[in-house]
Amino acid sequence: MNKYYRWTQVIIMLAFGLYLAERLWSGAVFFYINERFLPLIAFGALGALVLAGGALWLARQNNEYDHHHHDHDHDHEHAHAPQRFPLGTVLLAALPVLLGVLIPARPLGATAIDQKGLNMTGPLTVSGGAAATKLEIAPEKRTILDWMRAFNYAADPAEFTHQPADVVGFVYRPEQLADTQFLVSRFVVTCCAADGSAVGLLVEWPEAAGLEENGWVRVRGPVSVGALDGRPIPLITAASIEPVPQPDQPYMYP
Amino acid sequence: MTATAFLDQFSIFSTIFLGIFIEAAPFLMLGTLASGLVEVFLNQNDFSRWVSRNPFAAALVGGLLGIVFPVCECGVVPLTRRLIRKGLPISASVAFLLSAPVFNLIVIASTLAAFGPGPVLFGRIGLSLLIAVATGAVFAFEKRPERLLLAQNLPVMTGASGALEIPLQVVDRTPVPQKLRRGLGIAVDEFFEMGRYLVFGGLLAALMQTFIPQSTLLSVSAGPVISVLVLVALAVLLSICSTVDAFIALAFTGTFTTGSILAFLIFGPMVDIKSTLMFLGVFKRRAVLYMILLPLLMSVLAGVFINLNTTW
Repeated sequence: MNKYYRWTQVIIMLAFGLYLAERLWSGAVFFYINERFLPLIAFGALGALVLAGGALWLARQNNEYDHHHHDHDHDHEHAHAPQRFPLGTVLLAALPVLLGVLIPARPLGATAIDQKGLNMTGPLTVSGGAAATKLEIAPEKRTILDWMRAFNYAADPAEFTHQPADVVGFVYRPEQLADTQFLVSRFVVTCCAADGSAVGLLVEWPEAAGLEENGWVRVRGPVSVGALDGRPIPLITAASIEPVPQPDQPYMYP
Repeated sequence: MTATAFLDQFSIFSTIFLGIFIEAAPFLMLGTLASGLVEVFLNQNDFSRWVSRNPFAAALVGGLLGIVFPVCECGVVPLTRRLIRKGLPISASVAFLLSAPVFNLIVIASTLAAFGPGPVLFGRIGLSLLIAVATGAVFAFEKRPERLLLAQNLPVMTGASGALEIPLQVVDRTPVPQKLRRGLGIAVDEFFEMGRYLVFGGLLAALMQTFIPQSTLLSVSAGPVISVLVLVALAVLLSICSTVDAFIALAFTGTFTTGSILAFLIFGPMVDIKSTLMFLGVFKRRAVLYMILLPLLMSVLAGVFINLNTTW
């Protein structure tokens, strides 16, 4: 086993463990996974450091596990011949840390909606008894997701007309909307960014065209029933729009 | 494509990839650590005592063995490889490989949380076991392990008949701390070896997610057959860990047929982009093909059957 490979194993595992720890500490980990997996990721950081320790021990022991076992995992026949440095494996192993560190951490936003589409019904189902409690939330306290759920579960969405909405989301303006409209959106993440789907509410605001795409805003105003692509969607006739900083947890969790 | 547009796309790609990897890596660690511990603490004799010589019965045992090891599909491959080399018959190993990602406490708990006790939960568990054991049983027909496994993964001793010979009992008197360190060393090597498949599979999945609009796939949700095929394709594409895919499937219950949701929950944990690449690190290509096609066929048939014959 190549000695340099051992040391790169140590470096990569250490780097990965520290990377995870930093993301956990700074909260950027919330751009990638659902908050309930925090303990799992913490375990991952710890595990990476433990594995780094294992590789370190092997590096200092001169790489031999012991001498009377010949069931090697890797494809070399002679235990003591110098080995080629497995560049491919190292590059692949280093890639997550490199991507994580070199690309500025950003949550999924407006451009991702162009890609993944807006989800009008998807992550809105709620399991079992939680459904009843979720629908009892006061209108001003409803998030974008709560509003979508309420609309989908209600027999007649018109019952929500004139209810006040107070939601935070980012600005998304697909081409089909008029200049005075935009969608206040957020991504809903069940497990990790890979399954993220965007939900949004239609907003009527005269200066919509001047709003920065992907910028975070707080929208307040009365709700009525609007339509997007032929489907009913909550429409907020905005009384006020104020820019807000990106929330610590940009995603919503069903 | 302009520079900022490219950077935007790349950022999405990177976020999706890291989401998959950060989520999966801890499970891979669990799997390789379990695998390292199995290597140092389990003697080859242990398996011959538990597991029947009859390869078909062994497949059944292999399928049920998953309940002991709480790993998802990332962690199950290195563990299975370790078990193969410890003497677990291939039929049992394949059954274990396919069933363990579903037949374990964590996945059962999360599926229960998402769907409650009902046809989806029991269907998932029951059908996964059935399909896994059936596929394992098919492998029992091939008596020569060297035709199925890559050379470096063959069990340590194989007699002429293909049955494993029990070696003379070798008493391992290494002190426990030493054993633990050795297990840790093994875990590291396996993490890197299996990890590269995870990375490559994650890259592929993220690439497809970034460049194939989901709306294209999702416009076919109601047909009894097409919905099954679509969700099976989605399961492979999304490559989500079985411990949490129940919550993803929940998102489809409004629009997709139950049969397709079950197929998603059954086939996804068995085969997806990243696990296929990991299989190729253990088995020969022909064997991997069987491991993909047989469960695929059975999952699709099960899904379509349920759609056409039940009102679930």
